[in-house]
Amino acid sequence: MKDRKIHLKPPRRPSLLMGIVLLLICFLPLFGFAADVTVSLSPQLISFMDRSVLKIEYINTKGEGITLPKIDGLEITYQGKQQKTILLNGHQTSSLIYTYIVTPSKVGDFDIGPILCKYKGKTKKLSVKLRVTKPTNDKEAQTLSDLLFSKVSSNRSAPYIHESFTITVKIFIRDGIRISGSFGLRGGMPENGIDGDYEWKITDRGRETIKGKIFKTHTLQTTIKTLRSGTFSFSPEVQLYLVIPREKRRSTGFSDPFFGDLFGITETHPVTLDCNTIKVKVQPIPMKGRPKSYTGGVGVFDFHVEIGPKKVKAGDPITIKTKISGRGNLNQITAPKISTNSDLKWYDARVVPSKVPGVVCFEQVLIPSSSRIKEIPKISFSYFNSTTGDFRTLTQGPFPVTVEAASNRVAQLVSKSPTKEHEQPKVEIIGRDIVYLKPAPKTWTHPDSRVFYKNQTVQILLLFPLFLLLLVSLIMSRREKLKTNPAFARRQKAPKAARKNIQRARKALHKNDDSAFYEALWIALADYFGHRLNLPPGEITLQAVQSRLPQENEALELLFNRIEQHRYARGETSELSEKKQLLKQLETTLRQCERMKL
Amino acid sequence: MKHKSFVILMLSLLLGSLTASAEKSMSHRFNEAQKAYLSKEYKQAISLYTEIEQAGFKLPEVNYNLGNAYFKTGNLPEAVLHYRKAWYAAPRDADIQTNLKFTLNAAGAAYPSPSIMDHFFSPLSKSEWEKIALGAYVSIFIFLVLAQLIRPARSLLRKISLLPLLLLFVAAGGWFYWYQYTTHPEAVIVTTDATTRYTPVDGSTAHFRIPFAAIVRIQRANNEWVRVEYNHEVDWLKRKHIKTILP
Repeated sequence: MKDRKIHLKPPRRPSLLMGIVLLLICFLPLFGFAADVTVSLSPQLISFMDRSVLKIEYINTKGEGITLPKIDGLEITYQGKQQKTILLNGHQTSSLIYTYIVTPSKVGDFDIGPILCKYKGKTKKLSVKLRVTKPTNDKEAQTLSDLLFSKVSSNRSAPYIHESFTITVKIFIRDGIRISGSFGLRGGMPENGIDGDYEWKITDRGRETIKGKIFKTHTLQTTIKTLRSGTFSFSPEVQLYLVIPREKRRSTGFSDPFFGDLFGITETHPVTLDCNTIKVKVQPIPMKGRPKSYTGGVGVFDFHVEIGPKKVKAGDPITIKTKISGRGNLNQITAPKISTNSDLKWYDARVVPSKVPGVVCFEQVLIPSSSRIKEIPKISFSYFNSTTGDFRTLTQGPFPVTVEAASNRVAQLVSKSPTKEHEQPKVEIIGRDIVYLKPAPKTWTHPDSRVFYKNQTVQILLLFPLFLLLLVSLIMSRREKLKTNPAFARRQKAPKAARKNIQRARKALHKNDDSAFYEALWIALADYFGHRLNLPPGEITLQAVQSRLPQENEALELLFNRIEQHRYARGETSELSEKKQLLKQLETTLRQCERMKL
Repeated sequence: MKHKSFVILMLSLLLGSLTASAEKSMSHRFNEAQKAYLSKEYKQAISLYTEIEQAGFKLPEVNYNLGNAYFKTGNLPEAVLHYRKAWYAAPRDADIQTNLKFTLNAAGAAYPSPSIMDHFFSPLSKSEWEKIALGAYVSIFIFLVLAQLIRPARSLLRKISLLPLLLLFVAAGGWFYWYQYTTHPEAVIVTTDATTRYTPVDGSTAHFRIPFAAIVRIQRANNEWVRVEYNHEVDWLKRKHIKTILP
C-alpha cells in the first residue's frame, strides 16, 4: 500500500475584487445617490367634494417651493414642507417634500402642469393628471356650488348714515351632505367705515326645496351701522368643514394633511361657499332742514326731561335730567342744546350710565342767579328719522320754577362768576374800520439776531454761572476747613516747609557750611513731620514718626540718626559726597512719605 | 500778524456795511408799501410787505400792516392770519387786538375766548418769557455766589435766591404756553363750507359749521383730517378748510 500524500491547500487570500466590493459597500453611502425630483398626486380619482394631495419631492437635492399654475375648476393651496431622511441597508436617502392641497369645484379631467422644478442647475418639467367625478349621492350636480352655496341680503337698500341695518347670510347645504362644527366668515365684508365689529348670530335653521332638491338652511345675521355715506359692497365668504366618508383606513395615518379621522372612517376639509354680492348705498344726513337742536341722532327716539328741585334760592343748582330712548345711534348722540340767558348759568352736560339698553341719559346742572327766573326754558331734541327721511324735533317744557332771592353773600358770588363765552357767543361791533397802519420799526434788525441768547456762544456761556458757583463753593469750603481744622491746615503746610529748608540746606552745601547744612536738614525733617503728623515741636522724635509711618522705618532711622549725629558732632567735617547723598536721601524719603496715606 | 488783523477788520466792515444795506433796503420797501397802501394799491402793498416777511423780517409791524392790506382787499382769512402772527410777537399791542377783533367780527366769527392760562401768560410774548427766564437764571447764581462770599448774609441771600427760582418756573410756564402754539397751532378757516364731522371719514355726519376766517385750534391730526376746537366745540375737519398760523 502506497502511502498517499495528502496535500493541504494553503489558506486562500482575499482577492482584490472582494476588497473593492467591500470598499464600495462601506463608502457608497458617503457618495450618495443621484439627485432627482418627482411629483405625485394621491388620489388621482376623486369626487368634487373630495380633495387630493400633490407632493413635489426633491431627492438628494434641495429645491424651492413652486407656485403651481392656475387651473379653472381647481384650487391649489400650499400646505407646507417636510424633510425626510431614510437609511436603508446602509443607503442614505434625503428628501425635501413640498405638499399642496388640490380642491376641485367641478367635474372633469385636469392636467396639472407643467410644473417646472429647478435643482442643481437643471430644470425638470413634470405634470400629473386628476379626474374629478360627480359625488355618489348626487348624480346631477356638476359643481360644488350646486350642493353648497350662500346668499346675502339686507333689510335696507339705502339706509342713512348711523342707521342700523341688518345683513343676512343664508347658507344652503344639500340634504345628505355632512358638515362639521360651525361656520366661519373669512372676509368679503367692508373693513372701513363700519361702526364697531361684525357680530354674527345664527337666527334660524330649517329646510327648503330648490328645484325639487331639499336643502338644509342656516341663517346668520349681523346688525351694522356705517360711519360714512357711500356705497358698501357685501359678499361674505362663508367657510365650513365638509365631512367626507372614507371606506377604509388611510395608510398615511397621522401624517395625512387632511387631518383625517383617527380611525380612518371620515375626514373633513374646509370649503369656501360661493355667494352673491349686494351693494348698499348709504345716504348722508341732509343739511337742508336740519334744526339747530340736532345733536347727531339717527333713528326713532323718544325724549323725556325731568327737572328738580323746582323751588330753589338764587345761586342753588337745579338738575336737568334728559332721557333719550328708542332705536338708533344712541351712543353718538350728544346732549340737547339748551337756550340760555344771563340769569341762568349752565354747566356742561354729562352722560349718566344707564343699565337699560336703548336708553341714554344726560344730566346738566344750571344755577339761576336771580329771583326773576320764573321758568326753565323749553328743551328741544332733534333727530333724523331714518324711516320717514326727515328731521323730527321733540320739545319738553318750559318748566315753571320758583327762585327765591338769596342772601347777599350768595347773590354776589353768583353774579360775579363769569358766564361762559361759548354758551352765548357775542358779536361785538368795534368801531367802523380797522386801525390805521403802523410806522416802520425803529430798528431793522433780524428778529432772530434780537434774541441774543439763541446764539450758541451765549448758550455755552450760560454754563459759566454754574461753574463760577462751583468754583466759589470749593474755594470757600477749603478756606473754611483751613480755618476750623488745624490738622488739615498743618498738613497743607508740610511740603512747603520741607521745600524751604531743603533750599536752605542746598545753599549751605554750596557754602560748605556743615553746621548750617545739618541744621537746615533737621528743620526740614522736623517741620515736615511736625505739620504732616500734627505734632507739637517737642514731640517730633524718631519713634513718634516711625509709629505713624512704619513703611519707611529704615530710611527714617538712618536720616534721623545721621542728621542728629552730625548736628551734635561739632568740629567734624563731612565729605561733600556724603552730604549730597544725605540730602538726596532726605528728599527721596520725604517724597515717599508725602505719597503715603495715613 | 498785522496782515491778519487787517483782514478781520475789513471783513467786519464789509459785513457791517452789508447789514446796513439790507436794513436800508427793507426800510425802503416798507416805505414803498406804506405809499402803495395809502394810494389804495393794496395788492402792491401786499407784495412788498410779503417780500419783507419772506426775507425773514417777521416783525409785528410788517404782519400787522400786511393784515390791514389783506383786509382792504377783502381777504379776511389772510388778514386774520397776519394779525394773529403779529399778536404772537406783540401780544399787548392794542391795535393788533382791535383789528383782529374787527376782522373776525366782520367775518361773523367769534374771537378765541381766553382761558385762565391765556390771561396769565399771554400778556408777555415767548421771547419776553425767555428773557425773564434767562434773567432769573443768572440772578439765582448771583445770589448763590454772593451767599458763598458774604458769610454773615448767607442765609438771607439763599432765601432771596428762591424768588428768582420761582420766577424761573413761572417763565418756564410762559415759555411752554407759547410753545404749545407750535405743537398745537392755530389755524384760520379759508373756505365758506367748513363743516366739522363726527368722524374723520368722508361723508360722515356733519357736526357744526365754522364761520369763514374763524380761528381754530388744532388738537391733533389724522392724515388729511384735523381735530379742531372752535368756540369750545371739538370735532374733525378736512385740512383743505384751514391754513395753519405758525408763530
